[in-house]
Amino acid sequence: MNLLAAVFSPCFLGMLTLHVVLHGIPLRNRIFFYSAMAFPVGAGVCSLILFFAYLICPSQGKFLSLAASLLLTTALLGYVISRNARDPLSSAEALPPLAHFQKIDLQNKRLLAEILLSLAGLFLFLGALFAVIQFFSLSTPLNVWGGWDARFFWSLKAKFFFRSPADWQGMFSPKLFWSHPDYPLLLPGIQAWGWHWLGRESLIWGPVVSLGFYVSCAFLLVWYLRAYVSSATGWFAGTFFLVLGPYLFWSLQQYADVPLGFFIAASVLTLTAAVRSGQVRLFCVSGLLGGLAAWTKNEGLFFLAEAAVFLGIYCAFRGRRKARDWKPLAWFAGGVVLPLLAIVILKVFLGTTGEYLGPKRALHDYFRLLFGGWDRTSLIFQAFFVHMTSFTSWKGTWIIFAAGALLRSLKKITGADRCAWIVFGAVLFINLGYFLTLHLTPYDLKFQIQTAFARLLLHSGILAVAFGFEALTLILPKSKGQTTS
Amino acid sequence: MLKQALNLIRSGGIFPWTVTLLFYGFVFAVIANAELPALPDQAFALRQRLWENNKQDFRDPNEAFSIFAPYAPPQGSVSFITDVPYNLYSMDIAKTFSAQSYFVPLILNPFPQENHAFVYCSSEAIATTRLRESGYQLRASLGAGKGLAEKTL
Repeated sequence: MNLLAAVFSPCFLGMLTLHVVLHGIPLRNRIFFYSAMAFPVGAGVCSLILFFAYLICPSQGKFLSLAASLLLTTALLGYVISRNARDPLSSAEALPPLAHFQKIDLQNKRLLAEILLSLAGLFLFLGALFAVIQFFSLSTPLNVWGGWDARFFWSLKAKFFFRSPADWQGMFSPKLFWSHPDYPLLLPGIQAWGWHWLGRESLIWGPVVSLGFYVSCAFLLVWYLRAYVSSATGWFAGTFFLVLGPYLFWSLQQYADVPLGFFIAASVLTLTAAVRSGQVRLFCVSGLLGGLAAWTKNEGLFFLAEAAVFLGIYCAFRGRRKARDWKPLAWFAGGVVLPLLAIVILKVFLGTTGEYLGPKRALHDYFRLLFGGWDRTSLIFQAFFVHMTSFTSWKGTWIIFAAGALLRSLKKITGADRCAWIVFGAVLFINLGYFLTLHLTPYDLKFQIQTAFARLLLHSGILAVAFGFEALTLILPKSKGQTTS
Repeated sequence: MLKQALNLIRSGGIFPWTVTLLFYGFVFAVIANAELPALPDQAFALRQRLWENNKQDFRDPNEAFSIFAPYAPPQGSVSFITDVPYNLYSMDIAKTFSAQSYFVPLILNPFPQENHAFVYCSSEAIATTRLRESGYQLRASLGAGKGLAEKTL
């Protein structure tokens, strides 16, 4: 019972946070959006609360973190109830469904085919979801401590939070350089928060958090594709994600790469939804998710920089009145601000021993590493090729992605559907960033590729599935006046 | 010819139906052929025990280091000496990481820089060599290459 309360508390907090920000704006498939986002956003907020509580009063960090999260939940709930009492209609506001779902005409064979396909997809999704949750719960006891990173990075830092609140900054000791003192603290934070709630270093909490993020990834795809392509596409994409081995494997290992993949994908897909609809508050949610990506792993910072550059270009070329041009960027920044503040405090004052950007390297060192020889570049290319074309792992995800890009570029696509290229661009730039960063690794490149490369693809894999499915299953040409915004 | 084919695709003549049907067929085949790895029979019983929070079935993998617990200061730092000097690419570092995980918030320094050290070697002979190399003297032996040492240099 206590465990269920520990799970639902962040879910509730996450849902209320999103509901307050998105109140009154039209959003397709809102229920699926909340299903996908509630736990990760709530967990991220709880993690941030814990970090700031420990900064303000370390000795009372445990009490403060739990009390602050409960207080915030109560305050948000009170706000939502009072607002709904004042304005009961606006909370139910939503866009009408896509035109081809508006009326069921049994003579329309194409529509019937879509409905049948959608039902088949739904049953497949539910079956796959049940199967993977069952598998996850049975596999967890065989390795309840998780893999290397889970045991020696994330749980280790969580133990500093839990065991000795007054000495929590011991986790940043330069003597523990191998535990990456500069790594962001989303996972240790939520792990310690759950342990505080449960009153012990619970074995089951780590796997539960990991499963929460994994299932949220599937619901994220269902939400986006149901909202902007079709119901069938959403269910099939969600099912396809559930049969991808790498995500299930790394979730069982309790690594941070699946949560990072979730936050990156959620931020990009929400950004795409914001650009499609022009609803500026969605930019704020996208910013919050991007910020939480950066609060999960350092790679999230690269993503955040890329997203900011994209938004800067988008705002600059949007061609509206000057006063309104920078609104999306401002809302995005509004969402990013708290996670980014936590990261700045962490990097500047606490974990100051970074590996990639350090005083030991001069500018010419970076230049030499980037352009110094074909051997390193060739090795990185090979790693991309071997992993992306591994059917056993990725079931053709990257081929679907490439085929989708090719066919979509050949087809005339107008209006809001062009926004899918944002997803394509995100996948491309994330991997380009890793391609360049791998040149700069302070470790032996082969060692780095062997230990980390497979996980790098998890960060953009969800987006690759989303783009591939959107590009290859966009069945119906839009009728006049119909919009997918 | 190519131009005609491109025009056909662009106008929606081939795409989207053919491609979409092929794609759904492919996705369905992938899903239908997906299978999860087999699990041992005891997985069901273990899951039940995990739910019941039966910690005896899930012994902490770091518990081997509990031999040092009576001598560990609550805070501060001690060195941790293993079979080989610290090397990121050696699996021997797992011992240091595991011990650190067990002793949080006490900090274990993998380098011989602290006044006191926990010695966790595979044999007495290796321990003697490593202590000599790193400038420590054994103060209390816990058997089989394990013990507590003090800096002499």
